[in-house]
Formats: sequence, structure tokens, C-alpha cells
Amino acid sequence: MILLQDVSRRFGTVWALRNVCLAVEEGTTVGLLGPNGSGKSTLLRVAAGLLRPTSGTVAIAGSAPRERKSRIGYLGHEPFLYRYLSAAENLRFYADLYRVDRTLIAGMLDRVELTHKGTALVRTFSRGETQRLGLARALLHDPDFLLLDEPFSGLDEAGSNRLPELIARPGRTVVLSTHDRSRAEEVAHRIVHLTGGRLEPAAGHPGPSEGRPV
Amino acid sequence: MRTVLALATKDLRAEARGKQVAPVMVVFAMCLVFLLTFALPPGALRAPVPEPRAGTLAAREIAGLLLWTSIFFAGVIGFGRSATVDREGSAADGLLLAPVDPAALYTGKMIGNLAFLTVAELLAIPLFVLFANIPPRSLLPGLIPVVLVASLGLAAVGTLFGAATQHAEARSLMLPLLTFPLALPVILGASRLTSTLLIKGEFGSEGRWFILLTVFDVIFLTLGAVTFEFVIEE
Amino acid sequence: MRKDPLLLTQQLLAAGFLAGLAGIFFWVPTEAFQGVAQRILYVHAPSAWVAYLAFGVVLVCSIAYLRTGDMRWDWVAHASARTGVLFTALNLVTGMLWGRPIWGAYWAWDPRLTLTLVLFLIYLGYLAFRANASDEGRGARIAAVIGIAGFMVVPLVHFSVDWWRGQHPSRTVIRPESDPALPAEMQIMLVAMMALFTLLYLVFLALSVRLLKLETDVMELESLEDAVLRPRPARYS
Repeated sequence: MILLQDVSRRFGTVWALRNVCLAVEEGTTVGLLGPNGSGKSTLLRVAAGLLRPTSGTVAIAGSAPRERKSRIGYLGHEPFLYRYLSAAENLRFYADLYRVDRTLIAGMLDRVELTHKGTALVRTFSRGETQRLGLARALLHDPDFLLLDEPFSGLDEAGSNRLPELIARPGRTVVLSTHDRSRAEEVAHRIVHLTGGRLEPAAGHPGPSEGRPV
Repeated sequence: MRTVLALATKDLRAEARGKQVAPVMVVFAMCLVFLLTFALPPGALRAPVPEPRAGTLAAREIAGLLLWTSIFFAGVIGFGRSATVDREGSAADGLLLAPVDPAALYTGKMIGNLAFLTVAELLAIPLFVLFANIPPRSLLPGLIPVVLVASLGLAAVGTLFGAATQHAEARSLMLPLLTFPLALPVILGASRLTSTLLIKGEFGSEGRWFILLTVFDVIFLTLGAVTFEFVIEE
Repeated sequence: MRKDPLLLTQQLLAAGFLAGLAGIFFWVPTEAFQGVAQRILYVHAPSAWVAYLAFGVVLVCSIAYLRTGDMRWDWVAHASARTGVLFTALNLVTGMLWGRPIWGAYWAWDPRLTLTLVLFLIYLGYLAFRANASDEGRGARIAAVIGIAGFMVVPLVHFSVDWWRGQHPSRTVIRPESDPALPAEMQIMLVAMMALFTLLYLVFLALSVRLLKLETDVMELESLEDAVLRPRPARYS
């Protein structure tokens, strides 16, 4: 379970997140909807352990994100790739860091349809290819918890259509942010809205709509 | 250990392709060496030991500091560039997310930086020998331990503060500002050892600088490994 | 209105320094070799002591901050670095003024003064970094690392400046502060000035910490304004 309890984050004088409470059940997918600047990225970064909350706590499977690093996959606005390494080399590097078998790399490249680009340097990649490789990086260690910040951005129609099956896996808990309501409804069991750093339950959406844990 | 190796290999391989760090260091070091050797009277260092001719002793006293000033500033430029490589594409965040000991991150990065610095030195030092008319055999063999121990110290400081200044305003200014006073013992030590070699052909009692430089290396490698997590976090 | 104890301390301190100045100029005997110039010792030595004390406090508070994450440690470390840089500057200036008549040059590469200059540069870098750090939390943590590194390098800088000049005969005619048997008045004066300077340091530290706390309070108030008054954007969907 991903559990955010009363999480706030301040940047200077601006509160990017205010008293956010969110519980994501094991094996479910939550879509995070909200306009630009509503705090979606901050929420995901805090959940991933990349940012410390100013107040409140984050728990992934009962522990701080820092203690669950090997079970968390995260893809942000930046792909976290090295431009002067090839696609395969980037994945090999992360495979070493996560202590994952290198033989999985070929299969992963295949899943994101980049096998033909395996030896090309990342700097030559298009926006969509970079995004797909970034996704491969986030999925490489088969994380139980997946946090995706605008994963559809840069992907073409076909790529976007393939994304749901790419990230789905029984037992995997996913939070993904997007500003595309129809895409969110397609993949998510539940949708929550973030506005001005506050979470509000989505009215009229099927499923448990309360944004706060009991 | 595998992680450290993977990190260092990543830096070296990206460098082999992108050439973002070492060439800048090399060119900068060569320019500085060229410029600063103008300070030496021509021929003052030609003989293996100083001649009674006026000025040759003083020239040797100066020569060490000229060489190490060049290496230090070339190093600082390179350490800054090398830290920037991790900032592009926010790869540093990727490292932070991975289940890796921050000490390993530091060590891997330090090894990469040490390699880049060594490349710069391998070109700058022979050039210095050439411009200053130093008989190569009188200096180079003795200089090897000096280069090893001093480069390690510079890389240790530079890796820590290269990463530390990445998120400051005016980072290209902050890095030399912070590293210069902290690395002063290394610059002074390496310079004095180099000058002593040029004057006496051996270290003699000045060999005590090796102890100081080694202590410096140990302190800063430890400090870097212990505090790197605070430097890269968030 | 209750009187601020800090203000009272400042008034007492002002009186103390007036008395101290009077003591330096009218009470303490003139040193035989250096003459009246030696009286600068009573400002020079205490400022060095306070500078070391201040940077030691930076070290301790930096370690405590990294261990606990409590911002108050960071305020004290930051405030102490500011104060330390001020007293290092005072030590450098008085050292140079003293050096001119005694050594014949403002800057005679005295190892101790050179060490002070290096410390001045290190902690100036510390303050410059703090002014340029874009993120409060990370800025404070990195500053703490600089604070720790800065103090650990002190013995090494000490040896290196000492050894560097070691092979030259000292240009010093008379080394200051080396006289083993200072007259009692001199010793008392020196101890009194040390105490006054230490108190001055504590007052500066308290004021500076208060200022840093106020800055944080103001920022939190402004963020409160942001939290309460910022209009909610239109519901997205």
C-alpha cells in the first residue's frame, strides 16, 4: 500500500502540497488528475522519496520510500538517462545498480519496441523514444510500486495505447498523473483530483471515491 | 563493489562517447602551463641541479607552484563539468532512487574524476617539462608518487563539492571558491615536493609532505563517503 | 514593556569595552621592545580566539544538524559562521596593523595569520554558498558539510603554511606573544579582553540566530498567506 498521511510540501513561500491524504490499495491503479501546477509532480516525487515532505509522512508497504528503493519504479518529466550512453548501456547501468539480471534487458527493449535502437545513443532519440526508454528503465527491476508522472507525454497514439498493458502486472500498485481524463479512466481503478495542492475526491466516479484513508 | 565499478564505467564510457570533461581539462591545463611557464627565465631549469647563476634557484622554487596551480584549476573545471553530466536528464535523481549506498555513488564518481584528472596530467606535465626545459629524467620518475597522492586529494574534494554546488546559483563560481581554500594543503604540498625534486633531485626532509597529503586524502575520502548522501539528497 | 535581556547585555558590554579600552591605553604597562604597538594584542588575540571558537561551534552544530535535521542547529551554525568571519576579518586587520611597525610589512607571511586568512576564505565560501543555495533544505545540509570540512582542514592548513615558510629564516625581529613571563597586568588585561570578546560573540550569535529565526518566520507567514488566500483554480476536468 502507498500511504500519504497529511503530507504538505512548501517551496519557499509557496505550498505545493497541502495536507494530502491518500491511500492506494495493493494492486490498484490510481489516476491523478489536475491542471498544471496543481502539485501532481510534487506528490509523486514525495511518494518516490525524491523530495522530503515539509510535514506529514509517506509509507510504501509500511516503510519510508528510502527503505523501499528496490521496489519502487518512478518515471518523471526527465528520463534519468545518460545522453552519451546507448539505450542498452543505460539499461545495463541501471540493471547493475538494482542488481537485476542483465539478460532481462533485451526483453525489456523489445517490450518498449526499441530493440532496433539498442545501440544508438540516447541523445539521438526522439521525445517518444526517450519516454519509452525511460519507462523501460523504471520497469526494469519489476517494481511492486510504480509512480508515473505524465507517462503519456511524448508518446504517439500507438505508444499511448500500449502503455496500460506495459505497466499492468498483478499485484502492482500504480499511481500515474495525467491531465487527460479519458486516458486516466482507461487505466485507473480510481481517479483523484489535485487542485492547488489539495486532494479532492472525484464526484460521480465509480469506485471508492474518498481521497482520505479512514 | 560491482556498483562502484558500474558507476565508474558509466562515467568513463559516457566520456569516451561524449568527450564532455577530459578534453576541456586537458586544453585548460595546457593553456595554463603554457602561460605560467612564461614566468620562468629561459634555461633556468635546464641543468639537473640549480647552477650558481642568479635566479635559477628561485625559478625552481616557483616552478612547482606554477605546475600545480595549472593542474588545480584544470581539475576544478573538469569536476564541475563531470557533475553536470549527471544533472542532464536529471540522471542524478535516478542514482538517488536506486538502492545504492551513497558512499558507493561517491566512490564511483571519484574514480571517474580521478581518471579524467590523470589524463589531463599526463598531457600537462610533459608539456610543462618541455616548456620549462627540464631534463625529463631528473623530474618525472620522482614526480609519480606526488601526482598519485595529490590527484587523489584533488579528486576527493572536487567530487564532493562538484556535486554540492550543482544546485546553487552561479555554480561554476561556487566550486572554485569552495575548493581552493580547502585544497590548499594539497596544492602547497605537491608544489613543494615538485620544487624540492627540481632543486635537490630528491625529497630529503620535505618527504614529510607525503604524510600530510596522505592524511588529507584519507580525511576527505572518508568525509566524502560519509556526507555524500546529504549532498545529493533531494 | 519588559526589557529585552539581550539589550541589557549589550549595554553592559558597551560599558565593558569602554573600560577595556581605558585599561589598554592607560593601565597596562608598555611593552619594552615593541612599545605602544604591542597594545593591539588585546584586540588581536581575543579576536583570534573568538574566530576559532565560532568555527568550532559551526563544526559541532553542523554535525548535530546533519544527525537530527533540526533547523535550530542550522541557525546556530549559520549565525556562528557569520560571526566567525567578522572576527577573522578583525584578527587579520589588527594582525596587519601590528605587523607593519614590528615586521616592517603589513603582510609578513606569519604562519598563524596566513592560517587565519585561509579560514577567512573557507568560511566566506560557506556564507557565499548559503547566499546562493537555491533549496533551503539541501542548502543547509551542504553548508553543514562545508562547515565540517572547513574545520577538519585546519590542522592540515596549519602544517602546510608552517612548513612552506619553514625553510626561510623568520623575518621576525620579535615574535609577538612569545614572552614567557608577561607582567601580571598584561595577563589580567588579556584575560579580561578574552572574556569581553567571548561575551560579544555570544551576543552577536544570539542576535544573528534571532534574525535567522525571524527570516524563517516571515517566510512561513508569507506561505500561510499563500495557503489561505491563494484563490483555488477552477476545477479541472
